[in-house]
Amino acid sequence: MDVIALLANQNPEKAVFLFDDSPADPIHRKRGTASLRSPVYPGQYVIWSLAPIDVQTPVWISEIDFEAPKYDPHPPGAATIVDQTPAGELGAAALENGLPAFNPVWARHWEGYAPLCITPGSVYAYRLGLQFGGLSGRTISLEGPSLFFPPSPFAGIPPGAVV
Amino acid sequence: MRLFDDRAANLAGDQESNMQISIIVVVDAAATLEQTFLEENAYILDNTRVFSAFHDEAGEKTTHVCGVCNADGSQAEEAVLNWLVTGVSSVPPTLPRNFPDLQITSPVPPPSETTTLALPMKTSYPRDASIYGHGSPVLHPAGGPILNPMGWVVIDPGKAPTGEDGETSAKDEGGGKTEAPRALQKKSIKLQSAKRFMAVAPSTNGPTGGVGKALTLHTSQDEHISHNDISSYVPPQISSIYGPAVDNGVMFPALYGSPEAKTEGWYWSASVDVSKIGTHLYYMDVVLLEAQSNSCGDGEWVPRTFTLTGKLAVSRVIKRNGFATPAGYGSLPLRPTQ
Repeated sequence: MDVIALLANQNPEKAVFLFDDSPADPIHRKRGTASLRSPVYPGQYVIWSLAPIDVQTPVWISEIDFEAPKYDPHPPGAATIVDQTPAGELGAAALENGLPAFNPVWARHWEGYAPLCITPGSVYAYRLGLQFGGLSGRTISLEGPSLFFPPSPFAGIPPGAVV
Repeated sequence: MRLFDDRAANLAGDQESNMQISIIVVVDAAATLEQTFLEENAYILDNTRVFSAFHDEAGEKTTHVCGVCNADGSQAEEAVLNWLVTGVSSVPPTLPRNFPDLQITSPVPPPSETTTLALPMKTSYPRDASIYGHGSPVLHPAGGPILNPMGWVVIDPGKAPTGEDGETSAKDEGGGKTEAPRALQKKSIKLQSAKRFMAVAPSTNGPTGGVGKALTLHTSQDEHISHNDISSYVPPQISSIYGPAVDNGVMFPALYGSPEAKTEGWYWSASVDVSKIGTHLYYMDVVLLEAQSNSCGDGEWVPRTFTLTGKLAVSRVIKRNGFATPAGYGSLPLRPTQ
């Protein structure tokens, strides 16, 4: 993630680069873009990690908000920044015995399991919330990436189908 | 595509990014050299105040290191500290270090009040050891890093270039040569009192080890520059980081080289063992270069080392899963699904 570019209001397509370690066909999954489509299976373990290009500028994932699943065989559109707050909640405002609050943003890890009841072809788009360090505590929400459940790899894939 | 739980690799922490903390040390070099005391003339700033939410008293010079630990108390991540030092009035770090030589003509009042002389001041960038002259870099008493690669701004107000005819000559700002009066010849430069404002003429009876208020440089615009002002142009450098925080294994500092020419290519960095909770002291040796004149009347740079005290306040928070549950933020590690 190019933090400086994001803070300078650059297009997220030029500043955010998402990858996953799935060996599935990368062409239609927009690997390396902000609209990454990551294939998952029911019960698949998923973990998000963030690497800022400029290591001197702190940035963390502040939220991952999933939308309702939908069936969408078409590749997703370009990623967009849907929300920018000049001063977001840092997650560390509260103090407990002089120590940081219960769940400060830098201590949050994002990992989970794909639901067991997802159906083939369903797409789970999510909004990625980013929180930056510094005096502003600015937050940016990014729409575009998604998880999706491809058809079974053991079944024949008809030509022209989008995976 | 993986169909099995590879949590073991994920918990190794190799996918996590370390917390990077930048510490900026701002030094008032002129005041430090004047008072021979650094503690009250330096300021430590870092980027931990915003998200640490600690109460930070002014002047405490404390860097808050917030470490992340697992639910069992074991360390999950280490933090990295990076130090950058600058002077309040030093040349900006954006100035390329290969800036060409400058020639500044400075008129100096002669012993008699009726004749005006010009004494050239030559500033050399950056870092040619052969022109560095007498101001040799200092080695840390404990055998620490050699500062030679860093280089220094060299201002030798005591030297005048020699012309082809053997006479001492001077260059004006336009680049032409003018014949200097005999009083400018190197051998005739003598120690002068403050009233004369002769260059490189410190008072030998000064309270600060031989450097008093007598050393001033008179510019062509009739502007007085004290030796401390000249010294404040030179960026300070950290020569060593040590102290209880290092001895107790709280942090592991080292001098790193960078291809970034604008930052001199050197910076101090340290990894922090965030399992060591508490407040830890550490010391920094900051080297300032002071413009002086030796017994021969030549200008030279004398390194002065001062010690600055800093603190690390290490705390930990348990890493939590950002995906909230009805009971609040989830705990880690996750249990496998059926």
